[in-house]
Parts: sequence; structure tokens; C-alpha cells
Amino acid sequence: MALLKVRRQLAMVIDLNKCLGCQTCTLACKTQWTNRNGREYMYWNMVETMPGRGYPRDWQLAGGGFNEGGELMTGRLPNLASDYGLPWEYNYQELLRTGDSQMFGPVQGSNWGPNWDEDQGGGIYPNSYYFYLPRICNHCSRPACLEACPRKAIYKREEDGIVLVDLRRCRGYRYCVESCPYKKVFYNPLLKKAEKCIFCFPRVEKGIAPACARQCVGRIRHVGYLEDREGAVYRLVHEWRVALPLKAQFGTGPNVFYIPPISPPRFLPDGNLSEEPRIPSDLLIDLFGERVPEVLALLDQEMARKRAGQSSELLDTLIAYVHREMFRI
Amino acid sequence: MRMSWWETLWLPFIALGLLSCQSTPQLADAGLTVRFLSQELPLDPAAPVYHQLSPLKVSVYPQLLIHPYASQERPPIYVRAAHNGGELVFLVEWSDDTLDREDHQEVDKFADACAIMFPQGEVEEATAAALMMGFLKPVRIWYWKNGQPAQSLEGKGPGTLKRIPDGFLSCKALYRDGGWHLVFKGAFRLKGDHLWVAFAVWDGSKGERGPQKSISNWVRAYVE
Repeated sequence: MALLKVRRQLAMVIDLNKCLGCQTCTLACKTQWTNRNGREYMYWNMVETMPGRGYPRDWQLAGGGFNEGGELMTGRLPNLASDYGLPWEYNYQELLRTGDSQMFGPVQGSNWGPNWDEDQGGGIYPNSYYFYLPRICNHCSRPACLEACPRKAIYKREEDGIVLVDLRRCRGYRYCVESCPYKKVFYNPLLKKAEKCIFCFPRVEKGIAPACARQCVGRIRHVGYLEDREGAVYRLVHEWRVALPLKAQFGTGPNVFYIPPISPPRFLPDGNLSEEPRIPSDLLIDLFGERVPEVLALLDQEMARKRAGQSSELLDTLIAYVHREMFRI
Repeated sequence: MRMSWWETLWLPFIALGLLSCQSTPQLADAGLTVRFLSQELPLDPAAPVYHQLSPLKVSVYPQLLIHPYASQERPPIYVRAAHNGGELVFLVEWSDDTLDREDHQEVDKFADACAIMFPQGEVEEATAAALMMGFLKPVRIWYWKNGQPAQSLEGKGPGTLKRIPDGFLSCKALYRDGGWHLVFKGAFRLKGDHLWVAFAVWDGSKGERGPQKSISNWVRAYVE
């Protein structure tokens, strides 16, 4: 199966240089869609700290997507306790009421959870580094979840390219969960159905941006159609070509794009600064592809123009002076 | 790895080949007799009345026509059947080393399950419907999954299953001695002196669900 044809494709561009890691997007999504009815463990939107193992744990190694020959690959189903992590309660009662505990802490331990490895990052001081990676469903042009479903319960909307699960057709087989290489399809153990990010289509249909984008305090997310030549999304992806898909090697044609992170230079042993960025190029190239050095060079160049008092339409777009201009829906 | 697009091109030819080989419905090991019992038919798989009936051994095979395939060879199942003029009962028994069910704290576990398929329409149409879930003709399915109530389904080929209301269908399962003992009880609707049935079983511990299952050929069930 080739790329699915749609009349136009809604897409998102996320500027990683502006992400604060505040998880406001995560809470906006959670309170809107996933805080009830078997979805409690799900994070359709989540900000991961990179380098890190992510959510669910080691999603990058869990398989799925398409191989170089275009064949659908079966991945691994994450485990609720060890890969997503179970929520836990604290010992308020024992500490404050009964006196059975003298130390504050969780009643039961947990081994994993959303952004569990937030404090770790990579590198060794003084060259330690990290950046944030917000992730939602990529509403792919060739969705592995869709091809994996023997019930044809997943479809891609022709009018905007949003990928949805038809819950009336879904029988909870979870081939979609296995096959999504981003592990952004979740199984609802109460409803016994697969569920995923819906790109806030009820909001989009009213001209309102998805909650994760609209609520973002850092103004890092542009939303618009990839074919809209006047829109920031088109210009960032196709004209300036600074917005790159995540793990394009999975072969699914993701429609969420990222401005890769610039990092400060590495310290040399003598304390002076080198020319080398602190975030290793290999890591960024693995995530965002071979064009990362070219994009980072262009961003550096445009920042230099700004510093010199010249104008930069690219940087002005990324700065997003006017919030409403970030969304062309 | 799943089926590539060019592999799927072979599917219609495989299906037509199988159909052309089946001038009459493929029978399982022997016919099944649906005994007439002049009494209320219990749901309990351990009810002594059922164990006075002779079981039929039915071979089941991994499903290999529709992706994803099943890969497990498994032992035969044993079937007993009875009716009382108003109700139709099947006692299906098969060995399974593990009792598997889905619960609310797991997202990567699958339940053991079993289904009985009946062709809809005339008996001759059983031939055309002999492939999965009635490749060309509609079928009715009684479906049980461990931990859930019985479901009545309709389908016409893979991916078409649809739940339909059926107030008469019920089932009760018992896991004992390394195997399942399952009673399906539904409404007895019969035209003629026999009906066609086929069986499917899923082993949850092997990750079986959906198309990954073991299926039988059609069994002719003679009705007393």
C-alpha cells in the first residue's frame, strides 16, 4: 500500500528550541480526553526528555512501521506496569493520621511512568545536555496502524488527513498498537478498544487548534495544512525546510514536524569552548534525519542576522509574535 | 513481518482454488449427532446429562489464509450437541495449558476464546461459506471470550464481524484438568434434518486473537 491520498493534510510543526518541558500540553490533552474510562494511563500527548527511553519505555526499539522493502513490521506490545507505568498513591493517611509511617513516599513503588527519566539527560558535566521532545500521533501519510488492522477499523480522513479509530468496528485486537512504531496507539482495557490522539478533530472542525497547541505557553506549535502556501506550516516544512519528521526511517510518512534543537558548544578540557555542539549530531540525525546539520546551520545563520539588527522572516515566524497566526485551520 | 502487497495478490487465487476443490462441504472427522433430550438443558459444562452423549473429535488447523496467520498446531477439540425442540446446546472441550483472560490492569494479555459458526441460508451455501467467516456467504457466529458474556455475531468474510442482538444466547465455561469445557446455549432454529457447524478456538497465552486462531472444517450435525 502506498501513501494514502487525502485532499489536504493537517500538520503540526513543533519548535524544540522553545519547548520548556512544562507539560501544559500534556495536561491540556489529558484533561480534555484521557482522564477517565480506562484511558488514565494514556498520554496521547506527552513531552519526553531526550536522550531518554521515552513513553512507553523504549518505544524507539519496540518495532513496527515498514522495512526498507515497504513491508509492514510487527512490533512489541508494551506492558502496562513496566512500560507505561502504573499510577500510585502516597502515604498521606499513614503519615498524617495514623502515624504508621514517619517518612513521606509512595505506598507502592513504580518502575516507570510518563517522562520518568526527566532528570537524567545525557553527557558528563560540564558537557551535559538534554532537550524536550513533545510527541503526539503523527497522523501518518502511510499509517502502519491502519494497514495492520484486519478489521479496517482505522481510517484516514480525506478532508484533513487525521487518522482515527472507528470504535464501532474495533474489536481490540491490538495489531495497531504493535505496528505503530511511535507507540501512539493505546489499548483501553475497560472498553477493550484501541484509542489514540484524534488531533482534537471536534475542535478543528470548529476552527479551534488542538488543545496541546492552543494551550502551549511557549508558543512552540504551529498547526495548519501542508498544502496551504500562505501558512507557516507550509513555509517551515517546504519552503525553509527547517521542520523535519521524527524517525522518518520508520517509513510511515509522519505529519508532525520538528525544528531540531540548537545546543551550546562543548567545553574543551582546558575550559574553553569548542566549535562542536553539546547535543551529539548522531542523536539528532537518528531522530530527525540527515538534514539536521544543514537545518541547524540555517538557524544559526538567521539568528546571526537578527543579532546584527537585520530582519529574519524565518525567526519571526518561529518566535510567533501573534498567537492566532500560529493556527491556520 | 506481515504480508506484503504483492503477496496479497495471491489471496483471490488461493480462495478460488480452495472453493473449486470443494464441490461438497468438507467434512470434519465424522458427523455430529444433535441428540434430542426431553428436558431443560443446563448451562453447566459438568452436567451429567451431557457426558452421556458421545463426543465427536474435530480436528482444528491454524488459520493460514488471512493475515495475520496463526502459527500454533493444536490438538483436536471434542464436541457434544443436544436440543430439546426449543434450545440448542453445544458442549465444546479442548485442552489448553493456561487459563487466559484479559483484565483491567493489563494491555498486553489476550483471552482464550471459542466460536461456533453456522451458515446462513440454504445448506448448499455452506460450501461457499467454508472459508473464514463465510468468505462469500453470510454466517452467524456464537462467540465466547473468557471473562465476557457470549456474543452473537454476523459476518461475510474477514473484517466484517458485527454484533447482533440475541437474547437467547448464553454460555458457561469451566476450566478444569488443563482444558476448557464450554457450553453454548441458543435458540433452536432448524430447517431440515441437519445443520452445518464449524469451530474456532483461540489460545490467549500464544497471543492469538482475531484472525490468529485454529479453525475446523464444516461438520454436518444430524438432528434427532
